[in-house]
Amino acid sequence: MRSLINVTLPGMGPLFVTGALLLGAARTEAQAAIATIDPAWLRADVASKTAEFKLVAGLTELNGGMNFNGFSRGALVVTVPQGGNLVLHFKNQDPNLPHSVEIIPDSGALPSGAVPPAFEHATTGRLEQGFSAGQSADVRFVARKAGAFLIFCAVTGHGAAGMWIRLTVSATADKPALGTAAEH
Amino acid sequence: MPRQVGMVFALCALLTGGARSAFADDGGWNAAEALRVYVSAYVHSRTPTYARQTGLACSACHTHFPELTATGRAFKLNGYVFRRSESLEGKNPEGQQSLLLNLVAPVSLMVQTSYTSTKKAQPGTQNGTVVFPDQLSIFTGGEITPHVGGFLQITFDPQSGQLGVDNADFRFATHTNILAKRTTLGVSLNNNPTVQDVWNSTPAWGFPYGSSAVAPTPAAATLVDGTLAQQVAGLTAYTMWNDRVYGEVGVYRSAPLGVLRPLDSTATAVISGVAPYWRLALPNVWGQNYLAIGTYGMAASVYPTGVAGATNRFTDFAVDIAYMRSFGSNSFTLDGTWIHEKQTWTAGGAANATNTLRTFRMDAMYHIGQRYAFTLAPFATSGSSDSVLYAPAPMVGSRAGSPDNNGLIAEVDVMPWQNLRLQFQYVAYNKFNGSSSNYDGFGRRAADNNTLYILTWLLY
Repeated sequence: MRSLINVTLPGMGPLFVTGALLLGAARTEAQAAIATIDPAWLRADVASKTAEFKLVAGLTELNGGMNFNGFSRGALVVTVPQGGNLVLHFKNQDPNLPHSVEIIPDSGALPSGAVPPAFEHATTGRLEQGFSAGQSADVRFVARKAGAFLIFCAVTGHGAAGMWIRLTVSATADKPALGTAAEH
Repeated sequence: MPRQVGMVFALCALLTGGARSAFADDGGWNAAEALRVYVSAYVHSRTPTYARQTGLACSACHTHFPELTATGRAFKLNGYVFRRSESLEGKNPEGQQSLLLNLVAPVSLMVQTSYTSTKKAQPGTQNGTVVFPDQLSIFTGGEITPHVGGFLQITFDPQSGQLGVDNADFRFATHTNILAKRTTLGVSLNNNPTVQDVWNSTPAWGFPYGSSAVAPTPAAATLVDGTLAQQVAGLTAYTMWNDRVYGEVGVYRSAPLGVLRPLDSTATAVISGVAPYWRLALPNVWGQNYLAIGTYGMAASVYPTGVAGATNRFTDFAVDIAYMRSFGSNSFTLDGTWIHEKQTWTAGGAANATNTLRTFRMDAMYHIGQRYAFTLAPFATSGSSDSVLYAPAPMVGSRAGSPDNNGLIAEVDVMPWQNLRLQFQYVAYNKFNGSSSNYDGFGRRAADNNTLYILTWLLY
């Protein structure tokens, strides 16, 4: 909604304060931009059964920067074959907040902070303190069991505020893939 | 607020040179008047205003408020500007952003109600004091522009019945890269040395977060330990490099509230020129551990009265430590500080030409989820005996002329909701104003001041 505003101050005559006011969204304007998948985020090595995923926290201003690769609340889905290796190259680009990553089961209610990971080694470490802007970490684990999981920021309150995307470990998929889903 | 009364007398003694009157019932500085000024100096709280702005639960930024988590520290360091709530944006004709306002009014309220009981009633008073409200504060703050934010607390003091400016911190923050590492640069305008700090090991946001305003507390406090709260305006510049090195320097100048300006010969405790302040901290993270060790301090030359003539000099040097370890949903935090103060009484007001004063505090807190916290906090102050600064007086004075005190605080906090705290605190003194028995020269024992303090603390 746009509106022109003219403000008159006593004794000062008309003062044209701004050209336009846009109600509702400095950062929601950024949120309105449709996030798109960059195929370069995901790389697969069939021989070694390894998928590498570039995971960026705070890539856009969506959700106040509390997003992975510009997606939040499960809107991005990473699918990998069961039994394969998954490497997450995590980097925090959010200028405001620290973030971390762990893989947790998709079991309904979102935890407020760190919980035991769904797979051995499936965390960046420093889960509560997080990594500040510019810092990075690699997460390497074997997706041994099929099912639905979340790639979740474990810094207290962040995941619950929507900073999570989905990980599907598929017993039938033969190669990794990226897709989108409706926000939860 | 266990140190409030102490600060009152410390301010009298340290700054005005009026220790005798401070301790005397009919002195030029009476405690009630002093309390009017300082009663809220050690209110430790943060505000749902920020929760509304960020869309994050209190627990994202606090273990138990006001103790900060990593997110809370980052939010403050970056100027209180992180926001997920909707905003009103203005643009100039060229399309550049010229206004950014929260659509949610950045206002919240704090209400405290308390019960205080000392082991032995204060002379001539009724024991078992209910204060309702113990404190009533209005908070406002948050993002003002994309790089400027703030925090302002307005507090109603039930003892004076007056409303006054409490803690305030407005800051600008931006980022750059230095040596290829991310660096935060900022400037803070605040009214209480260390209120701008992001660790809970320094005085303004240190433990205890809530304590009795009516119980006796030891007489002495150092300058940086809250004595200047709301009596100064400070401008400091800070930087955090790579989340590993924090540095800050600045100056404070007298800006007392409720007195005529410009300050003149009727003023008391005015800083000559400015008082430099400095801070260095080295945080580090490994595994689920967070540790920051640091140092801070300030120095001030103070006119006992007026704005000219001889001054008394106070130089504070302090070290501090802040540690946190997570155990799943539980966590352990430890904060501590040691402050050494050198006092030079060139303008008089003390029996000795120079004195020293040392304060140590540490608190170890175990948090069970977000609902319970258990704390043990030893404290100790020691220093030069001075028969003028610490003169005998019923309950608040010192028979030995000593500032020494030590003891232990035990506290249980229950938070049924994140914005409601029930606090049960017991303060046990081993030594009070120099002695364990007959410390005031009027037969009172240190243990007589042991205090049970029950507090309900609401933020909304």
